[in-house]
Amino acid sequence: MAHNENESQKQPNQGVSPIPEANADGKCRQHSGNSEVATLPRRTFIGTAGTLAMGCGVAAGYGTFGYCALRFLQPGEATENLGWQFVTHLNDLTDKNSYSYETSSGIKLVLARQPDSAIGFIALSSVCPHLGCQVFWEPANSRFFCPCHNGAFDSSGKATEGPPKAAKQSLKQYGLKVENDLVYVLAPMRNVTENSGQEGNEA
Amino acid sequence: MASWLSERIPVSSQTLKELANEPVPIHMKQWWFCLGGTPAYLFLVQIITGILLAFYYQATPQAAWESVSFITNDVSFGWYIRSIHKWAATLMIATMILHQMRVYFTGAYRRPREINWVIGMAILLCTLLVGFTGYSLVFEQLSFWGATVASNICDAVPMVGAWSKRMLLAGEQYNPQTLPRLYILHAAVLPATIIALLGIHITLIRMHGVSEPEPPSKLGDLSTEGGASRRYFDFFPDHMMSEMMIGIGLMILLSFLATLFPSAMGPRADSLTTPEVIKPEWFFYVSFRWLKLFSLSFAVLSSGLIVLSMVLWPWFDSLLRRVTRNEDISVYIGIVATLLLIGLTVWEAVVAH
Repeated sequence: MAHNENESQKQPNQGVSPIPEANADGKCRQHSGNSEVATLPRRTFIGTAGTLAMGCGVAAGYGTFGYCALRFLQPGEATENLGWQFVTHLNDLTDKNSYSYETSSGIKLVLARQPDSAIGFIALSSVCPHLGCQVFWEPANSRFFCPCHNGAFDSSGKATEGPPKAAKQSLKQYGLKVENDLVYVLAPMRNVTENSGQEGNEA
Repeated sequence: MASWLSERIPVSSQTLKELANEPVPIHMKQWWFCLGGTPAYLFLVQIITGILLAFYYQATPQAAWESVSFITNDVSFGWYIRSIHKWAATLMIATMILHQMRVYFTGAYRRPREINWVIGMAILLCTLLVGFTGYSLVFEQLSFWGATVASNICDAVPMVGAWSKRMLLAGEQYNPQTLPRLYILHAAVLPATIIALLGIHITLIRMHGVSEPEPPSKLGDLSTEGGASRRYFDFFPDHMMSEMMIGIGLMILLSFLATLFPSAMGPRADSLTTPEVIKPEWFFYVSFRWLKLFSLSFAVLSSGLIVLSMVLWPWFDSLLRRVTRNEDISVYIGIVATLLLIGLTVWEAVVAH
């Protein structure tokens, strides 16, 4: 209550103040109901305008540099890392439910039987859709398991446990095509941790 | 000679004394209240050992693991410098959390020190990021999968997520340009930010004075030491001596830990195999468990809200105190939060998955 009274006392005082106050921009604030029109000295105006203009110039200059720096840090468009790679002959798949394959750069993928698909198989990536770790096949539980956050997937790549199930995610698929009874997969060509041929470095 | 020097460096010893001699409240004679200086000292250790390690470290996917291995196995005292760097990081985060808990449970963040709490939180978050980028540099398995997982967590953040992931990794996924980014964040950008924040943190402490728990009588015998009126002692040399004792104690502790538990080398990063058991550093156990318990979007959003409420706690605290009319409401919330934090950390520590 005491707080309210204070405010109501102050307000009328402010309203009749005869002196126009210059604010930070140097412009005059005019109180409504005040007949005195404030005149802005030319010198002050030119001074303030000059300062503002210089301020804008400096801001624009450093701003341009900031933009350049930001663009400098922004990575370019990713180069295409996917390529068609030969997997196997179609005959090898006829009596199998799944077929494991490793690309030349070592990337693991699994062809899983999927009757609905065009060629009866889909190519499952081993990258967990949750946060990108590598899943591995657990024969004992007949499932793919992701060691990072306990995600699990059935043999067709559908999530059965963990955060991927909560988000209804499945293992990603690579493109698959058959030409002259030969099966090709559209998979990554390189991997970043390749040790440029120096194997056996682990201590 | 003395006049030659004082003419060229016109600072009187009197001015220096005035600057250094902040009156320190008597309760700071208790070790529990000296925790703030500990992470600062350890930060200095990190800068010195970090500069030393940078003489040999190479931030490329081809050479990173090999260069850390070279430091560890071939360079004279390399194992010692690297182990000190790692243990000081661990202790820095631990003591920072303890300092934060002391400030929290004594209510030292309350008006007029709210801004300094916010800055303290910013320093803590920067330190966690330095820790994360630090273990990403070793380029062992944990480094690679940690960076992969963290960038995908970034990706799940609404609006800015995809952009920040690209900025962190220099691309859509881990690539040869990623490691230099993590390195420059770890060794330049984040430490410089911490130094700036630390400057503001300490300046604000100087301007406000160290907060004093009320009522002083609760502190028992200490407040009557040297007469009831003597509630302050000199920063220099008294408090400086305490800090130096802590510093020497820490160096001994660090050398012990580095010798008894030196940093080893994990297997080199392999983008084709995630180890069957994988865990981040201990200070991320909580968030790691949190991510296992909830769906990604919930885990990310809730973590963000928890951190935000921690940053803004001084204002939540005054709001809660007004609403509940309970002066100690924050203490109860703090106890629950601490138990939860410890519980989730221990849970993650004892199970494989």
